[in-house]
Amino acid sequence: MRTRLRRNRTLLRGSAISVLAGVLAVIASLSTISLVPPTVKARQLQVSAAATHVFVKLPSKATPSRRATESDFDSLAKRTTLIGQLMASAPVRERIGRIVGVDPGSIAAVAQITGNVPATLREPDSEQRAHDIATSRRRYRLDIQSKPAIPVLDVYTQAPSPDEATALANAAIRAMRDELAARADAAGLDRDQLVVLEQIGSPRAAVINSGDPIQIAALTFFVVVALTGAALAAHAATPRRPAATRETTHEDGGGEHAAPAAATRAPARRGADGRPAMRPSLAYAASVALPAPPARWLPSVGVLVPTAAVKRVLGEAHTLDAWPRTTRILPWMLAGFMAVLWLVPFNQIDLSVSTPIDLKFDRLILPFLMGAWVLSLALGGTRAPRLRWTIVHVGVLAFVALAFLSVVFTAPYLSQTLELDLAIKKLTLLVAYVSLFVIVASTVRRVEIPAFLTYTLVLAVICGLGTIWEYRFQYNVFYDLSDKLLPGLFNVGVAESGAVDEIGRRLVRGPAELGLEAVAMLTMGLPIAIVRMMDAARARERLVYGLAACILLAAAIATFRKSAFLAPISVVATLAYFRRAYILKLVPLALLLLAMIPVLSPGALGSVVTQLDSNRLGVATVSDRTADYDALRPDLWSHFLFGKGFGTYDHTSYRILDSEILSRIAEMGVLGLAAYILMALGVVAGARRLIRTTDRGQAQVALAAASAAIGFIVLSSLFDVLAFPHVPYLFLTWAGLLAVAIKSPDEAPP
Amino acid sequence: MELLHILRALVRMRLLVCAGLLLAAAIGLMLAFEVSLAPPALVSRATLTGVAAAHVQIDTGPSLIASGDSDEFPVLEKQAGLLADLMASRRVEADIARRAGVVPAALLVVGPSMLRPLMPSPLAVSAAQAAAIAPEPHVLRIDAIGSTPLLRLTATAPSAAAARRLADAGIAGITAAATGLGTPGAQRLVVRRLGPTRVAGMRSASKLPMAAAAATVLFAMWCGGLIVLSGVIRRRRRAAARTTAARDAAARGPAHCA
Repeated sequence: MRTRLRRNRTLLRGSAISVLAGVLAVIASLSTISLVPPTVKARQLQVSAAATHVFVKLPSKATPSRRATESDFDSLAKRTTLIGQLMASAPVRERIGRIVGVDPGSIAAVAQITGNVPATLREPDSEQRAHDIATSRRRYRLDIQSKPAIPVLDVYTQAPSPDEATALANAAIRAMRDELAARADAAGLDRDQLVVLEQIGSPRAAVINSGDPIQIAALTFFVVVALTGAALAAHAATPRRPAATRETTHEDGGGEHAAPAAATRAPARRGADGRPAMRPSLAYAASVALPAPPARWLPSVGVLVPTAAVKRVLGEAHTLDAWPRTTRILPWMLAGFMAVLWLVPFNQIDLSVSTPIDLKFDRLILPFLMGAWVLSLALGGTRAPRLRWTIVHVGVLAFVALAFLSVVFTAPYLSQTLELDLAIKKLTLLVAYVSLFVIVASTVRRVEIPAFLTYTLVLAVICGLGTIWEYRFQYNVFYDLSDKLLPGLFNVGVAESGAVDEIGRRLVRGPAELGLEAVAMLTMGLPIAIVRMMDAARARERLVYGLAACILLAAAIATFRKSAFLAPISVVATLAYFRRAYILKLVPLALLLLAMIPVLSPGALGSVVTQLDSNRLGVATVSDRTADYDALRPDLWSHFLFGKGFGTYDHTSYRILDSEILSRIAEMGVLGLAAYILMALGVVAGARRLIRTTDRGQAQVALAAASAAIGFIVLSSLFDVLAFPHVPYLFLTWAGLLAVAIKSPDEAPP
Repeated sequence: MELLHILRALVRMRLLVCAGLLLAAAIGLMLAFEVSLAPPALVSRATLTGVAAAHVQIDTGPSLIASGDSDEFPVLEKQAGLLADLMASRRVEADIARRAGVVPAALLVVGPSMLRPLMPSPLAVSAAQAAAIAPEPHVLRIDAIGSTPLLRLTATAPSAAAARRLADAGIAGITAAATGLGTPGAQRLVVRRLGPTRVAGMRSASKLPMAAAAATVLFAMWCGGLIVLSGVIRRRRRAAARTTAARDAAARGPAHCA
């Protein structure tokens, strides 16, 4: 009883500390705290915006009119662009500052390039980005955009209040008129001949971030409470000295004989005979499931050790109830979701009705899976999901924690730059990805892993066959069937299988959004085929798995992407590293591949090889990637540790970063990048021990997961994998399966 | 199998489930209807709006399209786009309001430039959205249709008749603006109406499906919450029972545990 009271007191104390830390963090994020003199002042977070439009015309000519020609419009549009650039210049900003009565140094202005040029030419380089970052904290901002075809300037302004935003918009036009007049006077020109800036309508303004303070407070509070709570729980769970457990047992009132209570608390230990002790949840499961005394109590070591009978009964029960021969609903729902991941272009399917959030197909299904998981967990019993804690969990949750922290630390700044909503949307998406990992890691049982691997391989092969079909017949079965099978409530994107990209490569994408994403998916499925081929005892099995590997590789190469070479090579290299003795077994596969790929995807191999020629590596897709490294330097140095906030480096506002590594640096800083890489390496680290076990099923999943993780890292350097949801979902499914293999407390230890 | 467990658990808590059902139904009703208690009445939240649509073509005196003067034809598209933007100017807006018989403060004319920024920077998108919030009861929206000298006018007003008046006033406003522009003596632009103004009284989409969906989700969450809560309580009770059993076993002495 005293122990319970003490535990309740500890819980209460921990909760109070966490809440207090959360409240302090909220105060710090919503206020400016000064120590000398000690003051706490509410931070100015309100942002308003206004929009107005200006018609630029010449006094001597009237446009529009019957007489106006194409060249009149072109000339006037160019003049308008120039006026837009001048409006953003320092002299005009000086005038604007004087008109609205604010320091010109607090006004930032940018004139966007709106000409009909490739998007890559508009992307900010390092100098431009450094300037943008330097001015991004200014409270008054102007965004000026000229129309390329007609002489109209769009002027968008930002200020703390709607009235100030309106005043700023009006002042920008007046200042520009004054500047033109001053130039005319200086040159001795007649004012009647001045270019006329005619404002179209009054500026319309409103507060645009009214929900931000609440969002910042809620996000900060929950993140800080969760992290503080986790830290305190970890601290409390850490054994300080060996005698502590015994002392607690004694205080519990039972001394050495308080077996069940001690068993539920004791960490995993080894029995007297050196065998692993029964884990707490196993003890609980056994006590619930079996009428007979489930285990032998070893007073000398204070743990429960399962008897042989318990092991046998539990093992048989689990095998009998293993997916696919089970009535448990969760594994079936998981299998359904995996089919969606492999065969449905879910990111190109959305609801045709208007909803407050962007509801893609996966986000419609995942809540049902999540709800069933929560209910199952709440119901309890032997069929309920079992929460596990492995090195893989540590890696994934550390990454998630850093993603949230990166937004919490920069939340007021993101509110000022109008990017907080985007960050919160992306965090929600990240939570969706990670929830799949948690569900897989707690739902799947160890005995079910081989069945899930087979199922995954079947789905991957279907995905590969569909991709090859698309390559050969320009028909995307995944998009077309999704469109036909789903009701009219859903809008399904168009595959454009016959189209080509900017450097003339055919667009083959399978169920993905891009060819690269399809390559990543197929790469994630490849390890199963190769590992099983290496482990196959019979020639027939070896042939079947070899064919599966051929199909997956041929499909990847059919996408015409250079990555279709690099990513599978990384997977095969990882497999070869861990199974050096089996390398010779891969030789027949290599021969089979050389024979089969030209048959399955004729012409694709040659095209990909040609792209890798050193003379052809100067194409836009390569040069854009190399240019990204230099352009990102200002972002790295301005937010070195935690980045500018997860999900906030939007390609429409900044650059298209064709590398997840660069995206992580920009959005989460060096700590975030380290967490991202460690998340994948955590999978490899967790798999290493299992790869060498004699248990074939465990070794297979470990080896395949390690290869998929290395493939994931390589793919992360080739494109922004988190922006294409098939890839993170599949990687985290691998991570979840590995976590099951590493620690499976619901089954008898081997 | 888990579904049976869930159903059994819910049957055990049937009173609370019924309470949740009533709560969800009440919230659903309030979302779909305006509820009045005295006298008891349900009034639909759907509103009736008049919508009118008309199309015009920007052309020249001797029609460029008819004469097949392909050299000058592309400029018509730019002239139409510019004219559509200029419709949002205060002068033209006041003219349209006068013709439609509404006070200028009650009318908003939305030109193509107001709808979507060319470069979707966060500031431009937010400012455009802020500008598009229209508290005015009369709104005339003008869009350029693709790369053609065609304009579409869409008027919304409290009634169908008012919407028709507004659309017609918009066409008259464009015609007047086109006539007023241009070098004196030069040939003017011509605004040709393409067909009659089409009018419809539009009832805003019924809130009933959304309310039903919200009520269903709410009820499901309520039931889920009950199950989670009962699971937590059950676990705490089991833990307490286990502690008690351990204490009793200890009290009985070591001999009983052998």
